[in-house]
Amino acid sequence: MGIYRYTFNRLLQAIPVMLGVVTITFVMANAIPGDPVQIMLGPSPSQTEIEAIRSRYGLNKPLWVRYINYVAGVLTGDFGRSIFYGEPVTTKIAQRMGPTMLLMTSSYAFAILTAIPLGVISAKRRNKPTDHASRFVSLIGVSTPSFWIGLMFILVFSFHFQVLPSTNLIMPWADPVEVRNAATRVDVLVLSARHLVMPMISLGTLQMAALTRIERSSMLEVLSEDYVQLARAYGVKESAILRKHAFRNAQLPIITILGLQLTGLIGGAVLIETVFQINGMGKLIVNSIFRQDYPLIMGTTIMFGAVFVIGVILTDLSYAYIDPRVTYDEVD
Amino acid sequence: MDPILEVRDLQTHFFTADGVVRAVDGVSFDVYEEEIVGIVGESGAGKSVAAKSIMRLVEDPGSIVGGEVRFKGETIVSFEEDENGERTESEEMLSNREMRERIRGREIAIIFQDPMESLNPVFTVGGQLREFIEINRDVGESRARETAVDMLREVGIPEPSERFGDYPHEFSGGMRQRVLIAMALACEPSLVIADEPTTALDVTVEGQILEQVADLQEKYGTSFIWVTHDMGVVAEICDRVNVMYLGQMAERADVDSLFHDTKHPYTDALLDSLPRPDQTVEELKPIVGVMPEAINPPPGCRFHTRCPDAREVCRRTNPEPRDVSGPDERTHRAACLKHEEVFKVDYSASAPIENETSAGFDVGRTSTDTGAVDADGGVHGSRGGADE
Amino acid sequence: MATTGSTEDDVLDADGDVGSLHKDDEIESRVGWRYTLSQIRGDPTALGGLVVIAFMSGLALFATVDAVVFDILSEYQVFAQYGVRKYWIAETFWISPIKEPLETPRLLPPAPLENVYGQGTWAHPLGTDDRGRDILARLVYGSRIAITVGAIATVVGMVGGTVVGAVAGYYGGRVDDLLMRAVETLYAIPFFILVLAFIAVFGTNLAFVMVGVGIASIPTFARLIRSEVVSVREKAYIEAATAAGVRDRNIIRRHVIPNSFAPVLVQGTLQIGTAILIVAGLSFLGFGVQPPTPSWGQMLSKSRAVMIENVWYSIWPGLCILVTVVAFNMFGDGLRDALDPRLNN
Repeated sequence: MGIYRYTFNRLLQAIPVMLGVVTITFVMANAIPGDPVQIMLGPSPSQTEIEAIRSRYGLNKPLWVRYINYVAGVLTGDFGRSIFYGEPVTTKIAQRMGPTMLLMTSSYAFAILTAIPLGVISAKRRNKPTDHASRFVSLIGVSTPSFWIGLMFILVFSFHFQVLPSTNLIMPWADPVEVRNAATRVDVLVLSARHLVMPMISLGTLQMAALTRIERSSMLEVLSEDYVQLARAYGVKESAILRKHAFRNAQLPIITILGLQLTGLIGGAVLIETVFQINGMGKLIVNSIFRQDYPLIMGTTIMFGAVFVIGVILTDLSYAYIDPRVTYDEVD
Repeated sequence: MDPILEVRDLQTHFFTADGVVRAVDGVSFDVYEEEIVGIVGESGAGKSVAAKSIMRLVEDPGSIVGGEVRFKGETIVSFEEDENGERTESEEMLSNREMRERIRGREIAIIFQDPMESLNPVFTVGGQLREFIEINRDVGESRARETAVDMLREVGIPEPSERFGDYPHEFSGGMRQRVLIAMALACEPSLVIADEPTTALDVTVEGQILEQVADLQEKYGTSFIWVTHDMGVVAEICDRVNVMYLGQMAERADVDSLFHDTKHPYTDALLDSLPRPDQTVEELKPIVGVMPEAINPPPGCRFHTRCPDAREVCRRTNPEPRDVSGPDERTHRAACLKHEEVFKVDYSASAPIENETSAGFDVGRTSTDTGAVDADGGVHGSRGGADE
Repeated sequence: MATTGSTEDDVLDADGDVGSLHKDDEIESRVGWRYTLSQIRGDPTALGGLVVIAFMSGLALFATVDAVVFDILSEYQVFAQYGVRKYWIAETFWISPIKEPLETPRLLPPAPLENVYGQGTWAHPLGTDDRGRDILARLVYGSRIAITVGAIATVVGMVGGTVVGAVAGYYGGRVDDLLMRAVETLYAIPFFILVLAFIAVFGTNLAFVMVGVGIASIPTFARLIRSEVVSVREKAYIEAATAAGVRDRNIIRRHVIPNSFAPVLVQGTLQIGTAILIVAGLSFLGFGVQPPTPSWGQMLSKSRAVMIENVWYSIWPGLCILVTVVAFNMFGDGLRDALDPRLNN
């Protein structure tokens, strides 16, 4: 079976999961104590006003009809309208998706690029000072709240040294005309990087630490395998063993973990967007909760679910690419 | 003729949290050109560790702590003692780099027990074979590839050039072991160490592979060390045999005299436990008890806890293998006190020990959870007896 | 477990007497515990973690008695006449963590330091917050939220996950499919988002935060225990118990769960650390315990506005979270090494 068939099948498998996510979200939103219409209209609205809103949002229909309507809407890309903004939920999400995606992908890249060398070195120098240092750093890393790291960064680099901006994100692809203090594309890129570096490291530290631990143990396990011993017995250099014979195998568990760790990354993004005042999906969901903007809460929750499911599918795909034992035939 | 490999009093110990495991505790043997030497013993006897020690492939927490290994004039393992009796690695020993560049793969190749685990699952079979040939025969990629395909054909892989690009999981266990044999021979070493290479295979495949190895050995003139627990395999392919028990050598002899003129009760017991077509299952005699663990070996002769011929004197003295050969025999060594004329002990005057019950089993049990102190105590006791 | 073999034998010739089987399990787990304890005693990191956990739990217990138990007792005349009230101990012997004193300067630095608001004093060793309250006192009373919420949320997730995972793993087939599909779906909503959605629905009450974090961690435990159960299920002694006519419910309760418990315990310890981080994050966003009751996350949130004026205010609560979570991780790692040498790296 080809890679396209496999991808298609994996996406098919994701449908029931996503339907489940939509259902859970819908059930929760409808379990709200109190009448959402009251919230929308404020205190003491007239009976006609209430009826108008009810029919406008379809709230006068029975629950199961509303459920079917909602699912049908989601399928056609209609998540309803935000109560607070009055705009369609999809428009709002589309506006906020960019910064969140930029933040998440850059943090993941940072985490992977630091964790893999750290883990490999740690495994290679097992129980030596380097290993102890790296293990200590990762222990601290998995135990530190990301938003506190962000606060400390702001304290040091924005307030004390005043070298980095503490708020907002600038998209690297933004039009230079619309960006303040930027005349050219290069200016925009530099500005974007300067804004990104602190949120990126704050969000990525936890993932980096967690991945370092897994990389280390995975590498240690592979290094004790017979095929590594065999390579040694045939005179392969220690450096080539690390780089070639052990490395690729050791990345297999990492790939699986990467997909699952996305959930932590998404949670962290919500906090980091709040700390650095980035107008992304995370801030959107937090604000919607305070404003009790249910259509928007439901929409963002489902979108985050979709991001996670797609991430897991991507890791499955790359797993099959790296490990020849996994063929694209094996779905499930 | 000089042997190509000489192993003298080799000691490899594992330093674990529970104490020192003396996996190999003073083992000596030789390998001559163009012969197949067997190392036989039950699991846990230290055969594999001995085999790996020859290539200095023992890994943490294990290390070679004593003895000598010489191969074709090169010193692989050697120790010198200073005035305080402290042993340090001698300077004539090959460096790790020299081991890697001159010995491993190039002069001595190894085949591991489990063909399923010995090939890297994420690289093609041919690619792995080619890489090792490139390293050890100083040839370019295309030449190495040709050699690899030829060698795969030699060991009986059908359509070798098509299978060259397949991954290990696409091969059966027997096929993988053939690949590993091809790997060993393709590097044209003088010595191949085969560490129970057929144990994981079924009997028919084992038979085919043994036959093939015998043919190839003749063709290439390579020497083999064949590690196994199976006396049947020994009879089939070995020229000479070393019998190991609990990290020490029990008996060494040519294969014929070992089978027909056995001089150690442990070898006897091994042979008795071998199924033969002229016997029924009821007539089979399994060895009594289980082997004690090397962390806490019994004092005196290590086999005395299970030995049918054990006497009181065996509790006190740990014999090293001595020449007990008959008049027209090549050297036949056995480490058993019942050859009292050689060992000069009062074996026949000593009282027999009753072993038929569960003595061996008890030793095995207690050793699983003993602390370091017990283990050390036991260990020292046994060494004390060895000097007699 | 080392003694499984003997348990098997006992079952096989137990001619239906399952009472003896149960006893063996108890002996087995007690031996296991003693071994675990001895292992941990020899592991300085695990021991260090345990000491910090004990200390923090002690603080939390003290704070809970003073802030919650006394609050409840003060409703009764019997206690009220002796002056029992909320923060009785703190206010009598030390300093109130919630009252805003008129005379104390706000935003004081730690004792030996000085800033624009004045010289730090030993009366407020770690300084004061934006309302002049003692930071140390607020940290001590904030430990209550971190520890209790972390622990209770984990217990909720552990119990829920164990039940779901054990039932799914034991029965297999349809039940397994259905339950694990549901768990997978729950897992597909990122943890933090799920808790946020839960809070959005039920309100930012502390109890709902605990239950929400607990429910969101059910999938982790359910998957873990299911995989353990599936492997334990295959073992002969369960078959023997079935043959002896023991009911499924009892098999799960007496044999499957005790035997699968080690990894759950390890995961639970580590999960408390994660839960503390999550709860702190939620408080930081303004969900969870409401002012003036102190919590570490909320203190960090408040400190943002006055970071330049008193940098220490935003350092202390973060350090508290860090130290507590590190302790749980250290202890959890030690526990894992002791309970399951296979996982030891």
